[in-house]
Amino acid sequence: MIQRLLREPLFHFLLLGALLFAAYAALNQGGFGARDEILVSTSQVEGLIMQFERVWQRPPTAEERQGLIDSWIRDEVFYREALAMGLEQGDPVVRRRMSQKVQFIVDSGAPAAPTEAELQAFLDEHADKYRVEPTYKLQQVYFDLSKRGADPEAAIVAARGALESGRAVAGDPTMLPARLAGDATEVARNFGDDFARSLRDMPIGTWQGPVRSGFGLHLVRIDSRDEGRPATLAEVRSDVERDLMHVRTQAANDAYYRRLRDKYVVRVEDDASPPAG
Amino acid sequence: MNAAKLMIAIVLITFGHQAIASDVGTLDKATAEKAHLSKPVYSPYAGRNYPQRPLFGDTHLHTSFSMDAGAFGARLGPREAYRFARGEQLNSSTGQPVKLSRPLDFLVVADHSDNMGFFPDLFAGKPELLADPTGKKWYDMIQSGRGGEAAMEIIVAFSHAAFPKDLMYFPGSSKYRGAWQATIDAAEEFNEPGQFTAFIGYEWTSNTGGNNLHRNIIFRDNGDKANQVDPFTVYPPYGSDNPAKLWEWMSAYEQKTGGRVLAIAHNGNLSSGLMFPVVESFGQPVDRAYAETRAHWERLYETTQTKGTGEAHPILSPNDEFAQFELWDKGNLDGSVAKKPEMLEFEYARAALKNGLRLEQSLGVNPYKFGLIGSSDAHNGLSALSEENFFGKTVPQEPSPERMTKPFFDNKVTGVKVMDWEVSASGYAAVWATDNTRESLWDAMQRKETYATTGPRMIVRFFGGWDFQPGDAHGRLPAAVGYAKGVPMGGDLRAAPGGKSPSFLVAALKDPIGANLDRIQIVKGWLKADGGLEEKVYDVALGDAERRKAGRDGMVPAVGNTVDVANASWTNTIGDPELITVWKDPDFDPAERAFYYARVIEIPTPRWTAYDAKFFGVKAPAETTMVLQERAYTTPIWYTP
Repeated sequence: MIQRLLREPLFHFLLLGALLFAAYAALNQGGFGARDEILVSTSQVEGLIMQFERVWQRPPTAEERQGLIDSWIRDEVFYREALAMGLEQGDPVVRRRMSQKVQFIVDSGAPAAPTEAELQAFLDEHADKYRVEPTYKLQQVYFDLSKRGADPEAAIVAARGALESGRAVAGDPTMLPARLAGDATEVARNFGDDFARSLRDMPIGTWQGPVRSGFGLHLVRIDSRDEGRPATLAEVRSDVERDLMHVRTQAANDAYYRRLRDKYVVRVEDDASPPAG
Repeated sequence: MNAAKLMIAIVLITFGHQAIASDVGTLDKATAEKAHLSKPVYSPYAGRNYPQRPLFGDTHLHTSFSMDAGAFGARLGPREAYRFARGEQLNSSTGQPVKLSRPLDFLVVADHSDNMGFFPDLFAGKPELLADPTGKKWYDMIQSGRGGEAAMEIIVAFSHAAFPKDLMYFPGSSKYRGAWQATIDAAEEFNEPGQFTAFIGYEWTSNTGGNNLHRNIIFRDNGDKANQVDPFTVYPPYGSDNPAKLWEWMSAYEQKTGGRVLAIAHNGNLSSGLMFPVVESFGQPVDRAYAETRAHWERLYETTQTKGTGEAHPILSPNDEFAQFELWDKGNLDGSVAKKPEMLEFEYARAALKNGLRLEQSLGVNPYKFGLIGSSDAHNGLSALSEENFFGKTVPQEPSPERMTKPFFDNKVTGVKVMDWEVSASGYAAVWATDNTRESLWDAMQRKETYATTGPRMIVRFFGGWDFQPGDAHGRLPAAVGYAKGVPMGGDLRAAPGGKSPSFLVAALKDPIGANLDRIQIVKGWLKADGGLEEKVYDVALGDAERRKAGRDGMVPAVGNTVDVANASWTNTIGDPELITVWKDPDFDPAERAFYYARVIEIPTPRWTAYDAKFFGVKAPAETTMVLQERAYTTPIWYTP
């Protein structure tokens, strides 16, 4: 039994280890426990100082410098102990953070800049999104339903007649602009979407309506309308470039995730939800 | 990993206190005229240099770059946040399609500076990087489309301490970048002067003991200045939880870059009485230097947001029938400290405005002469705050059949519990800027020409002067006469002309797609000769005025209620679409310091909880608020004898 043990490689290994351990302990002042090294390298210190300077716009004093180093060491000790105790396990914040870091790295690997032709193709493909909105010059006369009672119809008909014969009509007092020049978004900002939509096909140069808004009823005259049209690349270049890069980054990230995902066999113990790709 | 370790440090270093002895920001008529040309010309539209319409935005939105937001599951970063604010449809972090009813005019992505994800930018092809063989190899891999592989190598190198030392840090250069740079880049990319303003900013998150003293920092500048500094944090030695240190950082930034920054104090309702100190702050007396410095940097106050509204509290304002609104008054941010009534005075805006008058009397400077704004503090990258389109404060609170029934926090030790249904769909900042640019918006914030809304985009004008006449309200061009004869919100009135009382021109136009208006009120606070502080709320303009007369107690009958909770609907058959009036203070004493601000109240509408109950077909917990009256609060106009 003993002889067999003496021939066992594991025994040799353990024996050697014990010898090494004893020698190390004897040579080290710390005696029994072997101690890990924490090296605060020059570049580490420079990094600490640089970080400080970027926040405070001045170099740290000697005392502050020492404080930075001491606190870094203190953190490093706690950090290593935490890892040794496995405290990062099952911590949703750490988990999310690590995942986020990988995504940061992947995001930083920006895809190649698009060529002119690619930009044009992307614009053509998404022409609706970049359409130049119609712009309007319009006038409106406002009728406040809360002041007009149940039947504003007569007043509106009368006002319309007057307007058509070229007379000025004040309508009900309001802070809403009597005249407005701007694109459809600007019209919607002032009068709401429904009102803006009703201008799209309205005849130009005559009083129309009443048109309903969130404020009440309006007689509207469009003095001019520049119809919307597809944008040229020159007009929306930076938007198209940004959006195309966004699409490419998304695609690259997805592809990267797929590659990582393929390294795993995923098993979900839930009949209702088979693993999504 | 090393980068993350580097970030965290625990040691206290005290810096010398540095008072900023300069103006504390008054906006009198002369200054206002410089900002808004008011020389008379015949055409009412020519030379209109004053703001034509308020710009609406959010000064306080978190994305996945914020540690806590990420931990909550936020997947949308700053770029997505800007896209959404500009009106694009996105998929939320819970995979739900979402779009705003209309674009915002501006947005500040204000992620927490502490632990803001940051990572050395090793991918930009910098000469220092390419000089290192490993750096060159990674760079080439990325350039040839193998960025993913390079990323894996880098991660492995980090985690095994095999990362080339020469690549770790580049002292004195700007190569050491990460989420802050990404935040700046996103803002630069989506900032479109004239169309949409993407501000550079961050949130400084002083939260010691769960007492919320956060501040949002907004840069007037572009990335070339903002990227010369790292955001101020809380963890020492780089940071501190003391606001006075933040002000030092702001000063250092301006001195170094020639840029400008301002701070917006977070809603103080979860600060355990620490937001508006009157005696001492972090061991230092609230003295003249404190007052000057605070007033210099902290221009605005976040009066309403998802974590409740902090304008007024019923205990402080028992005669204010509208003070009971979206209150979070049970404890602090994590529920670790229960609220005591004596804390309220130092947490709510109106009380702070009042205490400011008294401090001004004794110190010569008013530290609490702030403007009012609302913002979201949402943590999911989505500034979606209308009741019918509310995407919650955090990702778990995005729309779901369960979201009303869960606790937001539940502290078993103190018994402080806040339910998710108590989260508010609030608010936005309205800014009277002349142009939609960083500079113009920032300048308007700096002069405090702003108001808070709890979500709707009503238009509110408010001017104070000595000569407003009832007829000034008839022209329905309040801005023209307002700027000509008085000062706008955020302004100052001084030296009352003999025998005159201040008069105010106030006007409100409902949100084009929102509810009618119940009333406009003017809230006055003043300091009496005996040192006592008073407040009074005046109803100055009423919707349906003809059928609502004040009773003998001075109270006006309620506007009514058309809300059908079960169908989450209402009608604009009560109230008025717009209100305008001139009001003169009937109780004015020229010897007493005072402030006046306008509060605009909408008719009752369904709260987001009603929309949830209807959409998901679920029953809200019995105590849930289902109807509310949205509102706006303007920055005051101050009177100083």
